[in-house]
Formats: sequence, structure tokens, C-alpha cells
Amino acid sequence: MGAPTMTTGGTGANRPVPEGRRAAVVDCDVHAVLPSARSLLPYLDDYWADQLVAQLAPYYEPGYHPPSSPIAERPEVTPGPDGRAGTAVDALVADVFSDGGPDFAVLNCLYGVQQIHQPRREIAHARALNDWIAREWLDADDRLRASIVVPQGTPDAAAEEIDRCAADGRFAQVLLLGQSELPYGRQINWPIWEAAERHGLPVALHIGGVFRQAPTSVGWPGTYLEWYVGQQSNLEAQLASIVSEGVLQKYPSTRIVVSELGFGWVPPFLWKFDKLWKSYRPDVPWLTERPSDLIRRHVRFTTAPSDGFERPGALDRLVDRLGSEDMLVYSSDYPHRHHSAPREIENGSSDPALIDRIRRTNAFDIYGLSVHSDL
Amino acid sequence: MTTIQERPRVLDLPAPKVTTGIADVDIHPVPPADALTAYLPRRWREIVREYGVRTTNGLFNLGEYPQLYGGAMRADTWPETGFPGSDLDLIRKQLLDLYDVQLGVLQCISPGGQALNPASQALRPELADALTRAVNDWQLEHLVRPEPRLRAAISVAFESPDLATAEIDRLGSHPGVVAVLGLSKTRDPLGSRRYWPIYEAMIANGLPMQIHLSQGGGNPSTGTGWASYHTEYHVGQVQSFQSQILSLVLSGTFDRYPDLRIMFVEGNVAHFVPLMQRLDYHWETLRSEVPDLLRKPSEYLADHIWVSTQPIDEPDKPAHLVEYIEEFGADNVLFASDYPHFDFDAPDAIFPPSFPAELKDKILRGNAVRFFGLEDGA
Repeated sequence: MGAPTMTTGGTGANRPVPEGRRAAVVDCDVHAVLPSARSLLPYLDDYWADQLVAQLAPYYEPGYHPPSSPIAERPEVTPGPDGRAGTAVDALVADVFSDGGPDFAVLNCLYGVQQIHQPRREIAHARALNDWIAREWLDADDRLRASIVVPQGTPDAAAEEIDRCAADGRFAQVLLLGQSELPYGRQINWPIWEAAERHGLPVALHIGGVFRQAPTSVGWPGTYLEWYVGQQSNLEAQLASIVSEGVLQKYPSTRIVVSELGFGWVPPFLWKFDKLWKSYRPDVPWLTERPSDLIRRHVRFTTAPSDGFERPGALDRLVDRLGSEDMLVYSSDYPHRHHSAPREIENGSSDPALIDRIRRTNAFDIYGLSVHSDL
Repeated sequence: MTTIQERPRVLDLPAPKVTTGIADVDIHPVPPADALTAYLPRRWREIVREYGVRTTNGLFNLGEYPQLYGGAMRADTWPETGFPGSDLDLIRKQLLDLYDVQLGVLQCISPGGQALNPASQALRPELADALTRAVNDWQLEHLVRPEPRLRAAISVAFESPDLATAEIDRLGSHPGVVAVLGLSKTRDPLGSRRYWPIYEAMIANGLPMQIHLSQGGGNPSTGTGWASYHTEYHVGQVQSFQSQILSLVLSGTFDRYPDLRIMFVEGNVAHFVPLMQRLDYHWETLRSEVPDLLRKPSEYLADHIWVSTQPIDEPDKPAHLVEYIEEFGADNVLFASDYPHFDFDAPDAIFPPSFPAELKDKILRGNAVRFFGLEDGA
């Protein structure tokens, strides 16, 4: 494996791959799991380590994938020593990079530091978590990349954490949760966008949330299934916010990777957004082009779960409705289990060129990851 | 002053019929200034005068997102005096006569005529009850009685199901009433069991429910906080409908009430298609959480969920509109004009030239028969 090349800046589709190299196959959403709160102890300073022990090490394991439910793990995954998938790097690497696998995988660790209400503790734990990721995961295999976990509750501190981690080129992305306390377009959140752009890092919006208010606009869903499927609505809200508030004008190199939140909802959302933009243009005068055109340029969506678009022809129909072949990037969502296997998304299209874009070149546009041509 | 607390005198109205004309499920009347006063008991008139109608925001007389331009009204719908929707003759001229509307469903959402500040969202349950009764009695007497092409979707104190059911029972057999009016923004998702008594009362009275988009309701405008800009806020309306359909299906509400008919009004059509496909996909994995559901999630739509067309989805390729409507269910889509609002859809203008004539016919008239339980028009 040759040293990966990181290219930054620019949002145009299909930027050139360096001579002698090819765009890498990237699995854009793989989950490393923090085995226990105590796993962070070596990475916390004395004060925060004492605090954690005194608190009896509360484990902020998020409920985004209830650990004993069918979505938590595919039956064939290799468990770590604690019997769970995603907690040990060797097991994860063996599974994710097995035959026909990707050249690189981007780790999104969903450990729920963002749900810590005490802001200084959130900052300290995000920092420790990123150091744990770097030492115990990125050091273990040079095909791994990771997202920077940030203390969302304090955007200035989030920007500092991005600055700190971006110095390590293996952090390829910033991770934000789909549901936030204030929509991401709000100016209070701009330090995050500014820092991500400064370092040429895309920002993943991944399913999850801070749960400061109900996760739907009509209250609390009764079932997990209702919450999980319904989180696409919050991504519609986030994209509407990011576009309307002018983030993409202020930070024009911004790239967004909507992760594990589906993509079938995008065409009707774009049509509605365009139509209302025409009605209310004086309210958002900085939007001089259609929201759909901005979103097509700046936003990508991971393919797992595939939400039914793995059925023959379904993916081709979707791409026609999206009006773009550039918007999808491949993911396995390892180790989560869905109704179809990750690679089955390829059944949805009869166009090998589209599948190649999804697996390699669309990912190159956002991460700039390439390998030697002979690999 | 006349205060009507009892069941009003039943009018000698024929059952609505949609034959050669069309059905329009979304017309917004506005009571002329002070018209509701006559229908409010004195104590509530005094309280409203002194304290206003308290809702879930801190404003005295406004929703969270006041309309941007001219009250969001079509410019030519302003009568000589008062708000658009307050002049019956203008409703006749600009809508009923012009497009041959045989059944026009009234949804009185904003009795104040300005922002959406619905009577049903008054925080004090007894006030919400008094205001909604006043709205209903006013529209039956001043719109439906003189113009029987118009029929009412009755407003109810939705967050207090005991009061809502009493109002449904009071007016449910009135021939001027064709539906119960609900709003998209509720305190809890619509499948919540606290709302079940409302559905029972509707079914007992043979009425469907029309859920119209709204503001307010006690939750932020999105599940991830408040929107800032009007575009963003308005785009967000469909998100509430998405949450509501998931709740209704997964709570088992339709299994419990096989006769429940619900229409989402002003909530678009296309976006429900991928949502239900996504729901089916994940239900396959996670059905152990909802083992009592009798059917695959998407299979509930045909019997229970209708949607209205306005604001019509405008894909870049017109063929996509037809595809999504057919994927949603060609029998479950009805026409809505949203008169007198600025985003009014005219029945002779919104369908692209390539739109199939038979499908258009269903949307404009045929599909109303089953939703409203009309005698077949043919």
C-alpha cells in the first residue's frame, strides 16, 4: 500500500487523480466502538480521570443502535474480546478489508460525548476520545481514517479540537450528529464550518443526536424504529438551515457527507426547497442559485443503509430523480445490520460506471484518497 | 348575542356530491372582525380581551413565523374590507364558480386572519374548546348554510381529547360537517394513545380527519431546533408530516381503528414515497420491536392515508410527478387549492400537459368519494 495522498479544497466533481495513481475505494462509514468509559482513562488528565472514576465511569453508549437489537451487529462480524463487534481494531480490520473490500475506511465513533451536559466534561472527553482513536485505531492500520469527534455544545472548543486533530492527516473528516441543539446553519455553529474548511475536511452529519429537545417536531417517538427511520427529517432540517443561513457562501469549500441517514428523501426535498426559494428569495438574498444546485455540489450521501434502492433499477431511477451522479458515496455501516448487505446497493443499477463513481471517484472528490494505479 | 352551546339546528342540506365538478379539500375562511365574538360565552370574551389567547410562544397575538408578504395571501383575494377568505361572494367568484367546485372543504385555521394562530392551540383547554366551538358555529351559519357547496372540517381542542370528542359528538351528524380538522404540529405524535379517543369519536360519527400544516404545537419547528429563515421554516413543514405518518403506522393506531381515514393537507405527496419505502426496509430488520403490527408498514396507506396535491411537487422532469403519485397510490391523492393563499393551485394550471387524464380525474373528483364517504357521483 502506497502512502495516501490528501488533496484539499475545491468542491467540483471529479477532480484529477495524481499521475500514476487511481482514486481509492473508500468505505465512508465504519464504526469503532469504545469498549467502556474506562477505556478513556489513559487519555484523560488527572482531573478528568479522577472525575470519571468518582462518577463510577458512566458509559455514554448511545442508543442509536441498541446493542442487543437486530441492527447492532451483522451475524457474520468478528467480535472483539468482549464479545461485541467494533470494539477491537484487529477484528474490525479483518472484516472491513476482507476480499474485495475498500482501500480505506473512515471510522465514525459514535460514543456519546455530545450528550454530556457539562460542557467542560464534553470537551475533555471528546479530546480523549480522539486520542484513543488515533492511538488504538489509526496507529494500528494505515488504511484507517477517522472523523474528529467534537464538543458540539461549545463550537469554539469544537473548532480548537478540529485544529488540534487536523494536524494528524489521518483524521479525514469532522463528525457531527444529525440532531443538534441549534441547527448547524446558525451562526453560533460557524466556528465548526470555518475550521473544517480551513483544514480541507469534509463534515459528516451522521445519525445520532444531542437530545436537548424532542427528536421530531411533533414530540417523542414511541419506538426505536420510529426514531431511526424518522431522523431523515432532521437532516432535511439541517440542510435547509445550512443552505438558508448562507454557510455555503461564507465557506464555499464546505463538503458535507450525510451518513447513515438514507438518501431516497433527497429529490422531493430538493424540489420543495427550490420552489420555496423562489417564493421567499428576498428573505435569503445571498442564495443566488437554486438550493438544489448548491446541495448537489456540496453534499454527499453514504449508501448504507440502502433503504430499498438495492432493488434492480431502483438506484438508476433515484439518480435520475436526483439529477446527479456525484452525490452518493459507498459505505458499509459496519458492523450494523440492515435488510441487505452493503455491496447489494450495486444491484440497484445496471450502470457499472455509476457504481465505480459511488465506490471510488465520488469519494475522491471529498477525501482525495488515492492509491498506486497497480493496486 | 346568541351563544350556541347546544347542537345547532340541523340544516336541510343534501349530502355533498361530486359529479361533473371538482372537490377542493383546502379552503381557508377567515371570520370577519368580531364575528366570532357573538359565538363566545361572555366569560371567555372577557378573558380573551384582557389576556389574549395564550399559546406555546410568548407573543400576544402571533405565531412564531409571521407570513412574509401580505399575510401570504393571493394579491387579488383581498375584499373591500377584511381579510381574504372573509367574503363569501369573492370565494364564490374566484373559486367555486370559476372552477366548478362542488365540494369545497373549509379549514378555518387562523381566525385572526394574520399568522397561523389556531384556536385549537390555545393552551387553556376550556378556552380552546370555546374558541373552536365558536369557529365551527360561525362557519356553519355564515358559510355552509348560505353556500352548501362549502362544507366544514371542524376545529377541535385537539390536545384535550375529552373536549375534542364532545365537540365531534356535538356536530358530527350535522350535514354541513365532512371532516375533523387536525394540525400537523401536535404536542405528541399522532399515534400517541392520548389522541385515540378523538379517533374513536370520528369513527363513531363517520368522519375522516384532515391534518393541515401548522406552526406552534409546543415543539420546536424542527426536531433539531428552530428554523431561522422563512424558506427553511416552510420547507420544514413536511418533516412534521413525516413524523406523524411514522407514528400513526408504528403505534398500531390503524390496527386498532380499521375505519380511520386521515388526509395530510398541504404536506406534499412525493416525499412520503421514499419514506414508506425506507420504513418497510428497516421494519424488515427491526420488526421484533413492533410484533403486533398486522401489516407491512406501507400497506396501511391505501386504507388509511390520503394526501392533497397543493403545493404541487415541481420536479425538473414532469414525468417524475406522475411516478411519485402513482407510487404513493393513485386512489389516495385529492386536489387542494389552498384558496386564498399566495401558493394557490389552480386545477386547470397545476397539472403538466403530459399528466394522464384518468389520473387527473381521480384527483379532482373520483378520490373524494371514498375519503368523504360520499354517494358515488356517477
